[in-house]
Amino acid sequence: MLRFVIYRLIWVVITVWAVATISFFVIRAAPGDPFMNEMRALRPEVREAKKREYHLDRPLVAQYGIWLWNMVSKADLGPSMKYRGKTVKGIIAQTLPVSIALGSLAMVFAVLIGLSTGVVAALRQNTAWDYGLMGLAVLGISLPNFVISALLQMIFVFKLKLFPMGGWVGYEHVFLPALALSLPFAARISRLARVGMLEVLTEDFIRTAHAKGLRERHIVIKHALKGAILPVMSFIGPAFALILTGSLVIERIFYIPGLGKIFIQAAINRDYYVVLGTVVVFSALLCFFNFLVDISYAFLDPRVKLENKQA
Amino acid sequence: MYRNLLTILLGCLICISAFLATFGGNSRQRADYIWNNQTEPQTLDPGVISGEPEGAIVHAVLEGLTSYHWVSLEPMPAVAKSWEIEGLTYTFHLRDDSYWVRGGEIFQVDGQKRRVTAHDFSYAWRRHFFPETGSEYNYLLHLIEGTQEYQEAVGRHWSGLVARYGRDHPSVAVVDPRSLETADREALERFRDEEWRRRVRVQAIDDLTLEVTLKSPAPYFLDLTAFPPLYPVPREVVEEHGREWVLPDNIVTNGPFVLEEWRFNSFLRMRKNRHYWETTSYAAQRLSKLGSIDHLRAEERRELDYFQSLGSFLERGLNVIDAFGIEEQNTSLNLYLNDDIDRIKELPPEVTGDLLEARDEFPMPHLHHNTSNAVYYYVINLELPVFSKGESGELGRKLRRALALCVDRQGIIDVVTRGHQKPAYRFVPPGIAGYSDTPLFSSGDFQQDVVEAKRLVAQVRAAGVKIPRVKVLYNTHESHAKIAAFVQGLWKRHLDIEIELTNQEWGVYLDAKRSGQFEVARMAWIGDYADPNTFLDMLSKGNPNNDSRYENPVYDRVVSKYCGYILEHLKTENTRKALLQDVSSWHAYDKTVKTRVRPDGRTLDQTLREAIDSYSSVGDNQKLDRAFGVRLLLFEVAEEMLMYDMPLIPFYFYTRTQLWPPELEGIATNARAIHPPKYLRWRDGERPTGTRYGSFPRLRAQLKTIEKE
Repeated sequence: MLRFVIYRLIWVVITVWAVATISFFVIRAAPGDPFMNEMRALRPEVREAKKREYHLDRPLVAQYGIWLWNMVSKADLGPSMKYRGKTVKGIIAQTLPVSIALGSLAMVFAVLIGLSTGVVAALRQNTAWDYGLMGLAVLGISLPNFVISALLQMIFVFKLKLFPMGGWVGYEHVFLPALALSLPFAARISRLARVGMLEVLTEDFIRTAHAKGLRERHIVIKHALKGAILPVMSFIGPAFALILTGSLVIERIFYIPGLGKIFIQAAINRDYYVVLGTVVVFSALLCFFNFLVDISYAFLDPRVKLENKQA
Repeated sequence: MYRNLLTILLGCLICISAFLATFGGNSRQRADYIWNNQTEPQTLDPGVISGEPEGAIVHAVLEGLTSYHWVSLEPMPAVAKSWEIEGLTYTFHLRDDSYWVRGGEIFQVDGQKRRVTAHDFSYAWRRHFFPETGSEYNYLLHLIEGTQEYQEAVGRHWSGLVARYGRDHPSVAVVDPRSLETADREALERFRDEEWRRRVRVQAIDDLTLEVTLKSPAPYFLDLTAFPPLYPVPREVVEEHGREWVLPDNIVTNGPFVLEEWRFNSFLRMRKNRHYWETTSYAAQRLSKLGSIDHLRAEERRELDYFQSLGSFLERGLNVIDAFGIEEQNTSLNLYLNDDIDRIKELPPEVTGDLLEARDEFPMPHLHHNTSNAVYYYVINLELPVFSKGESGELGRKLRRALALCVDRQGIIDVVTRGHQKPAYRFVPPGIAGYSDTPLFSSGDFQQDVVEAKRLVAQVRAAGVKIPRVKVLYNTHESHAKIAAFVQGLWKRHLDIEIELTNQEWGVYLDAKRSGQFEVARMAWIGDYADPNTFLDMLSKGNPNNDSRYENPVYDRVVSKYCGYILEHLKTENTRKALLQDVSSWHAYDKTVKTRVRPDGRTLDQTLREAIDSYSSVGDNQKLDRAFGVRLLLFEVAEEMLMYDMPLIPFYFYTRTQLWPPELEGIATNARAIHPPKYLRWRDGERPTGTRYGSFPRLRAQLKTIEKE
């Protein structure tokens, strides 16, 4: 067990490093630089000074070395080149919590909505319930975020006047964006849960349980639900990362100061260190969640053994 | 037992606790006034800022020698309580009760209250020329005698220093003076201060008197003293904190508001500066003083009018203001309608058109619409063979002119942009006092223009030129794409010229444009001040913004030499003659300047000659005004050259449609959309609450249909 955990953690570190390294050289290969400006071209000595300020005057490999060393030894992700005076760490420290808050709430919504609809659909297979819920799920998967957001705003803000339009101040500001963000994921979870559950429901041990005269509720919760949860679990890891990075549209529509927006903005601005900082954070989160999912698998399904495959 | 359910619950619990831990739900009070500043400001440092969103915040937290009048943008007294102009020398008298403030309290140095002094301005302006500052607006200060030489000297000195450190201390990265050793740093500061005193005509005569001498007349210099890049900075704070001096913990300001909180991509909160000089008693005192004088100067009249209509800032000004950075236009509009924000600078284009049209039927007191000081245009790469064909490029010129004529500007405005923009038949936007705004090409009728364009293209083809497919480059954006497609259709249909549309992501596009890797590219230019120079200067040879690589020696001389140093060239009979002769030596002078009729019915050539003649006959006290007049006419001549040679095709002048409530006072539309928060007042002293849907009949109708559904 411990050996497996350590082994996987090492892989997490290697993966994050590889992603960071590739990103470093890819973003530097893109045309343009952070000091471009449509209006006024800078004087040569000013450009030089700016380049020196951000070590851009060194050879690329040396820049990479400095950046990596600062990150590993001092947890220093470098300065922002666009937002002068701000550090990447400072920007992430202000915006990552917002994304996590939004994402974790959306995750709760997605799991609760997705699992309950999926289970109901599976138990009432080929009924109006099943078709109705799965139809909604297909809509949820295929409708883009901004349409869902607009629909929710129309209903909850304009018609029912329950929630504010946007912003990120109090608890009332959280519900709508989290719901909008969660629905596509709820839809996928719902379909996964339904399929998983249906598969289990035809198994012999379920028939045995029925034959033993166990109550329906008991069978579903204790035995069949496992089938619904397992495929969902493996989806949740990457889904979490997707929720965190994919919140760009939601962040824009509901005016939420999260990390998703910066991720895109920084790439457009060629704000190198901000791009790299967000990439590192996101890839670390993604790997970490996958790691958690792997462990929880063992907890849920005794057939999965936590072993080093080479061992 | 119920392992499955437990796992789910546990997972949800972890998520919810993660939410609770990270969601700093705060009970921040709604500000008295919130405006959508549209994006996250990059910095608040006057030495570095270059954009409108940054300028808007700096207007609130810092204050220059003068500030903009909220309607006319003419200078109002600010840190300078009065000024005198004598020839090229401006003398500013600073008030003695303007203090630097940190965190709401007066900033103290050695136990002394730190006043805003003439030295702060001198230092702030000098700092624009330090390479490590990274100033983009430093060229504005080139108006001042000696600054260009100073910039060269400081640049050379810094490069030398960096090179020396590279040899002697390879491990030290020289970023700013703080990374130098003490002795070197002191020597550097001494050098820079002494050079400034020696070369540049900006003198702090004492703490409260600043004397500035320009190298040539610039009617807009006084306006510039209200422009944020020329605001003062507290030297000791800047030198201590470097580029971090603008962060809320470090910042020391002198404006009407104090920066209280700055959340990235969210908001900046500013609170009234209790130590600001404009108190109630000050206003009363000024009112009684100005009321008793018979002949007020223009700025005194404005001041009197201000105190009479709006009262003093400390008594009636807003207490807490927020700047938001909402990029999504629909969100911005919805928040406005819901009373969550109080001013938006831009509407979604699909709504703008409808609202502007509905304005004729319903009064819409929230809607504010005006032309702004900016132009949308296509720049042509003159290095492309097809655009430089024929003897001295004549065929290429005809082709460019044909392309320019064959743009249905009104069509673009009605179909694509929908903001009632103004069709542009010249490059300099209207609204500069004394400057003509008549069309410089086009007959005024698009069908007729098309006939002329066809004729020109036929001539080009008859001369054996094969017109290849032309690539139009624009940065990826819906409205640029639509405009390009619109133009593509016109050029293909009327001129049989094939266009290929290329869109590039912003950074790639800028790079392509700068390095000349384009054929025709979409551009826009916003004027920095109310003068043609801010538009025409960039087409001179060697200017980094001259993307079309336009070269016309006469044009360069008119813009840089004659307009730049007008007094010298008007000095004697001989220089005046030489000037006229040189200007009229331009090969198309007779075809354009001599035949161009200005609004008053006389030709541009006549007007120019008379203006130059009359300069010598007026008395000394009128000479400067006359020189300004000649200078503007020379700019008109330069613009004739530009529109004759057509290195760029102007499309339209921007307009701006904003929303703010009618109860908001001390704000008005103006060409540059500058609305200093200092002057804002709520009519009854308090912000009216409640949603604003009712004020927009069209939107209300739409909303009703939504409700019905």
